[in-house]
Parts: sequence; C-alpha cells; structure tokens
Amino acid sequence: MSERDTRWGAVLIISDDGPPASPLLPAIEMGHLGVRRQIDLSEQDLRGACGLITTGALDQVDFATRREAIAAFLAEGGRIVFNGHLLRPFFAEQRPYVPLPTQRRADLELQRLAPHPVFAGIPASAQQTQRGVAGFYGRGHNPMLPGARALTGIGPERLPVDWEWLLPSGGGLFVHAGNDIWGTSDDPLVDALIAERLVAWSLAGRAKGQGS
Amino acid sequence: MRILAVNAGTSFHIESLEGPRYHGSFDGVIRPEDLASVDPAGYGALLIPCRTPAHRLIPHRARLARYLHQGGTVIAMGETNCERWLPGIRFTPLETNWWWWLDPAEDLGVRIAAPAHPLFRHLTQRDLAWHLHGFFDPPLGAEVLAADSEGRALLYIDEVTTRGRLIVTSLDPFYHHGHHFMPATTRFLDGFLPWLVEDLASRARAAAS
Repeated sequence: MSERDTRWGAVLIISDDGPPASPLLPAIEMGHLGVRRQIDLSEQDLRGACGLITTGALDQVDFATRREAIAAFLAEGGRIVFNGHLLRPFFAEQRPYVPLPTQRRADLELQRLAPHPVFAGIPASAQQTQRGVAGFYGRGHNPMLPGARALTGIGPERLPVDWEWLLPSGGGLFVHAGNDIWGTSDDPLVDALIAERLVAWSLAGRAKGQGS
Repeated sequence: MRILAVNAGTSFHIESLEGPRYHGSFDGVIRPEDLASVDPAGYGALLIPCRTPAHRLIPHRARLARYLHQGGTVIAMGETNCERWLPGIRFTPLETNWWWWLDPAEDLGVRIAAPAHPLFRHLTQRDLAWHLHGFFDPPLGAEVLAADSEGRALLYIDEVTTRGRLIVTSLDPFYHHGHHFMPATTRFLDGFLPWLVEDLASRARAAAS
C-alpha cells in the first residue's frame, strides 16, 4: 500500500483488504490522493490532510470514536466524502440511514436537484441503472444536516440520496447513500470523472485556507 | 445458546448484528481487535461475518488456533480471506457473476450436498443462491453441505483439521442482508442462525450428560 506524504493532500481511507477502486487510481498515481488503511489512520493524517475519502467498507465504529478530531478537521476547512449507509454518526446532529420502505422501480428513480461541480454534465440517467438494474446508486438516504443542500433525489419524494454540507471554513461533507459513487455507472468514463471530481472537491476547502 | 460475533464496524455488520431481526442471536459482540484480550473459550461458537477484513484477524491467528484446540467452533463466512487466518483452508476465488438472475433460464448452480443435515430443516436450496465468490477444497473427512454445479464446496464443516470445528462458507449473507437487499440472504440467516443456536444447545446438553 502506498505510503505517500499526505500533508495537504486528500487521503483515501481503505477499510477492507482490497486495493483502491480503479477509478481512484489516476489520482493516487498523480499524488493527489494518499492511501491509508483505516487501522493505520493517525491523528497526524487528519491534521495534515485536506480531504478524507471513505468507502462503503468504512469501520463506522472506529470512525465515530474520532468525533472530536473530525469536528476539528471540518472546522479547519477539511472535507469528507462519505459513501454508504450511515449507522454510527460521527458528527453532531447526524441521524442514521433511512432505507426506502419499498423498492419498486419508481422508488429508485434518480433526479438531480441542484447543480454541483461533481455532477456537471452527468445526467442522473448515467447512474440510474447498471445493466438495466436500478438500486445500486441508492435504496434510501442519510438524513441531511441542517443547512445541507440536496444534490440528487431518489424516488417520488426526491429523498436526498446525495447532499453537500459546507461550513464557512470551507470544510464540509459530501454524502452519498449507496454503493461507492465511483462505481455506479455502466460507463467507466463517468465513474472516472466522478472520482476525479470528488478528489478535487475534497481538496478545495483546506487548500484555499492554506493559500496553496 | 452461546455465540460470540465479531463486528468489524461496516454498516452491514452493524445493521445485521445490532438490528432487531438478529441481535438476539448473539450472546456477545466484540471488535476484531478485542480478540487480543477476550478469550472466546466461554462461548460455543465464534462467528466471523462475511467481509470481515483478514488484515484485522491475522494478528489473532494464535488465539483462534487455541480456541479451536480447546474444541471451539469458528464460523468463517464469505469474503473474509479465511485461508489467511484459519488452518487447513484451501480456497479458489471465482469471478462473481453478479447478473445471472437477469436471465430467467439461468441457474446459479448452488446445490444442497447433504440434504439430511439438520441445517436443511431450516434452509431450502433457493435460500443459498445469490452470488458465488469462490469454492473450497475441504480436507478429507470434512462434510460438504452445499456445492456449486461442479460439486465444489461452498459450505462445509471440518472437524478433522483441529480438535474443534470449522464451519466455512464462501456465501456472504450478512453483507447483502445488512444492505437491505437480496431477500435470499435474509432467508439464509433466518435459517442458519436458529440452526446454529439449536446445534450449540444440543452439543452443550451432550457435553453435560
């Protein structure tokens, strides 16, 4: 596993045994994204990183024990990309994942709700299905924090399957309530673009604060 | 009923182990790292749910080996790379066919290999079929309970490699159940966990008599 210097870069937190997902490899190769196994993630990594990118395999029990460090990280301009179902809140006012009560095709329909650089030019239809099957993108939502902005809605009620929450510090959360968002399209170019843009998004808050 | 389960903290682990449907099945839940200090000897079985990272179990191989030597039962579920932390495991991964069910004529090929086994008072063949991730080459004397279309083991019980019992499968029901999809995986756990509870109670009675 790569042990790059993560100071003021983004850090991908690897929680399972596997290598990083292929759409993230270009950012790792170019040095924009460092890689840490979650069991090795140190307070120094949190202090030094601009952004943290987590996967659906995140050990949420461990992550929740880092609440104070995470709060400080966000307050200082750090950004976190969260994929998956939130069951252990790691930040004040977070509430756990809510699965859809029914999962018919109409319940899984996606709709973009607000423009966002991660999704620019990518219609929801590009992530709606894989091999014609809906549901990989999401089957529920993680309730938004107060002041968050819904980006993608699911089902007739347009529940926020993706949302962004930003602090005046530039720090914030990008929350996606489904399979890892860089693996939800039949089109590998879409997955690659999403991955590249998420890394850029995660870098934006703290890098600005550092003038770098 | 004495099951100690390991919780690696991923959302599907939390949902499966702490959610209302199954939490009553477990007498204790520990973190993988707790194996450094918690001796599972007081429990009839140590359950390692699917996709528990091997790198968090490898440091505890000696603890697991001691527990097996004492006669304990270790259940290793799918995608845990258990050949890296348990003795006597020979595993061959397969490229997963995620899409077999899109063709109504397709058959994943999972078969019950030991229909007389008490587990199959709780499970039918359709409760075993969602994905295949690989197969095992169990040791001589192990009992294969489920196999693929070529007769290769997907679920088996090994009471020959150690003085204890290994229940090993490449199936990954906790992952899908805890993600709220794939109903066969919920049916699998609905049958597998009650069978395990019954089995442990029966062994405890036999040991006491």
